[in-house]
Amino acid sequence: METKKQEKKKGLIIIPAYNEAESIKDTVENIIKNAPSFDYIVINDCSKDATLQILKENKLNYINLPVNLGIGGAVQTGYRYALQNAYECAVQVDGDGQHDPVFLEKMFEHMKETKADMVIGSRFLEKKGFQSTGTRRLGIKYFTGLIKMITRKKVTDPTSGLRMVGANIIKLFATDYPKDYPEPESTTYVLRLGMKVEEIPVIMKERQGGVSSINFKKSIYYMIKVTLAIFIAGLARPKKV
Amino acid sequence: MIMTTTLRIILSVGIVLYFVFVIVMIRKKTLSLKYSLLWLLMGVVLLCLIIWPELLGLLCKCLGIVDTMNCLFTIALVFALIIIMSLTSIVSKQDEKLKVLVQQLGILEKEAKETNCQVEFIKKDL
Repeated sequence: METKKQEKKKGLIIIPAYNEAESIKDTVENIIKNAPSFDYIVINDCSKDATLQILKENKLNYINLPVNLGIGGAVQTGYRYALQNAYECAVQVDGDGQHDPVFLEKMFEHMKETKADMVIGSRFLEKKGFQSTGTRRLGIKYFTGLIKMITRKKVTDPTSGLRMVGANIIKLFATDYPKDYPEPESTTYVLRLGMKVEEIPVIMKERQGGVSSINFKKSIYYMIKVTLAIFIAGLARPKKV
Repeated sequence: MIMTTTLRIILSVGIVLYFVFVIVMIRKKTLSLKYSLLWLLMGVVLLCLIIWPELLGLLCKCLGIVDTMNCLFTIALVFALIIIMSLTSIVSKQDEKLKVLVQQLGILEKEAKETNCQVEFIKKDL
């Protein structure tokens, strides 16, 4: 059903969605309005609510996964799709409306200027907008320190889902992407491979609808698993060209 | 029977090598980190018990086991059983996911034929 567009779009916006029936329509319409030079694709991760129905009713562009894969698997589906459709640039935007698509053009410009491989939208560079809860900020600071120790690069918002990547990372992530809590680990991996990661300040909003998928018990598992994953990703070395 | 120092050294080195092995396997994607966590935890617990025999002695007292070696075996066995059980659970979930995939593919093939649509699965690499 998807035909080649006449004018070449700047990139693909990957919108992972799990049980986002409340916010998905507004989120996508907002994206279409504020980032018209990008294509978008919603990845419905086998939602149990009315998400699929809403996507169909509003004739939105989507991929429907028959089995739930989690955020890593869903986003990776987007990267595979981007690779197979020869996009030069891909950007993740959450399906819950927390990310503001007005920043996408800025991220694209920054990526071109600095010739970066990845541009992360950071909540904490200018500390504007929704700054997340205190405990989460502590956890994020911990990961910032850990990643700095392993890669020598300070990433102020390593868990940010608002990330734009270029063609070589699309190729990498399409086949090699962590299954859960993928952001800090993949950032470490990409840095260890010698790729250039930049950050620009963005403003994120508070969750508009639905419930976040992380609770306390999961948080402990998350901290341990991601710490280990970062160390192991830290063992990566740049591939000899 | 108390463990001899020789045995403790051999086991400690063995467990460290085991850690290296597991981590290399995770790097190579032969093992996924998520399912290897229990294996790593087992290694950590056993290593602690071997390096600190006081800990092992305390555990023996709590469990009512006389022989420290027996205690070590018991812990290792319990871990092994927990890991096997978790594997059974993982396999069960995968079985269910595969079933759904098969069913969806079957339905997809039918619908593709009906709309005369050529479906090509691009096989980059799996």
